[in-house]
Amino acid sequence: MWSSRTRDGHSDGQSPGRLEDSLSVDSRVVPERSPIDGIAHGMCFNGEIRGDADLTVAGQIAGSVFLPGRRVFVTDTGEVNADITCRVLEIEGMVRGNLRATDRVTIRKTSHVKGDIVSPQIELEEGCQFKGSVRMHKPDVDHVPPAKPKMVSGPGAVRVKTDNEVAAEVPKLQTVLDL
Amino acid sequence: MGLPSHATDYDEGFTSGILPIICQLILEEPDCAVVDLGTASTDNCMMFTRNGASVYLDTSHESLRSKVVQSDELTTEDIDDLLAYCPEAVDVLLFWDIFDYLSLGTVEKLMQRFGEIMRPGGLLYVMVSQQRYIPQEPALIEVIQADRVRFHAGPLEREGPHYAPKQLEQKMPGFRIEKLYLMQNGIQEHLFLFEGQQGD
Repeated sequence: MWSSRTRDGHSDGQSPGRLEDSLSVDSRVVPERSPIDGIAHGMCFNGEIRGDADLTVAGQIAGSVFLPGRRVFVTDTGEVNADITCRVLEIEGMVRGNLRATDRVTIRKTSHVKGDIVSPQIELEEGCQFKGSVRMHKPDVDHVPPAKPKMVSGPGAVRVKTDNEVAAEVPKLQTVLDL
Repeated sequence: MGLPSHATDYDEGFTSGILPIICQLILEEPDCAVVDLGTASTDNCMMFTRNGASVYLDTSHESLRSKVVQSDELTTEDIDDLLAYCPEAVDVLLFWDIFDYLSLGTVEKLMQRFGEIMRPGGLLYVMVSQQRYIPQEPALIEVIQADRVRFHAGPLEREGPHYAPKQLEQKMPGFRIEKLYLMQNGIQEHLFLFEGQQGD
């Protein structure tokens, strides 16, 4: 999954490829208390993010983001194709998905958002590109279904990684983020 | 947006005789579905989402408001795009002053399609200017109170269509004029009640 990358993202001695191809994280559930609190520009994350930390997205996310009680910030370079559940959501980039925030949602003028928003406070800056519905009330975030476990037996089964195995991979991702 | 140069753009706004009826319906009907095809400002959303109503809006470059600036005709694809983000059943449809920028044929085509997703008993709100000239593009209309709106518009540079209420009613099967109100700035408000299309 990981390849050796220099600080500027190019392979040693090789022509620069798509950074996101080699730095993508494929279908991992980030464990609770993950040290990851941001997706850097050029990074691509495909899967489910759950936990107890604020999140800044400057790269790409596909999947879902469930961070109730936390703040999520999508920068102007961020691209999110996921439903987001959090406490405070601020968007400057591109988001496609349903958005639920227990405190407020702010859509900045540089953003492109498609989806439905549920939050007691919603701000749409003039100039933002928004298409969808707005409903101003506090969403119920207690009944989001938990992550569906992968099959462990039978045709098409995928072995579910243990918490230790997932945690062991986190330092590798952190190493990539440190580059 | 710039400072308004329209002679009728007063800071205190203008009294609306129709919006209070719409706001009352939204307060009485929980889970009301409101489609806003015009202004779409945050303040308007707050006004209309009270009591749990959902407001569907489009502020993108592909919005209806942006399209009518370029042409008074809409293609079938334009209308399909418009309906794609609308709910399956609409209780309140807000066209604001958009009809001033559409041909009558387009109004007919558009409302035929919207009639397919309007709930019987739903309301359609339309503003038509009775002044000879209208701004080059639809105004940004700000709801400052349930019975008061403020217009933010450019100079009056193009001739308006001056559609008569009966003229519009004839082009919109299923929609019946419920109430008319002439505002102080020469804008005629129309409230249409949707009774259902033939065969419903």
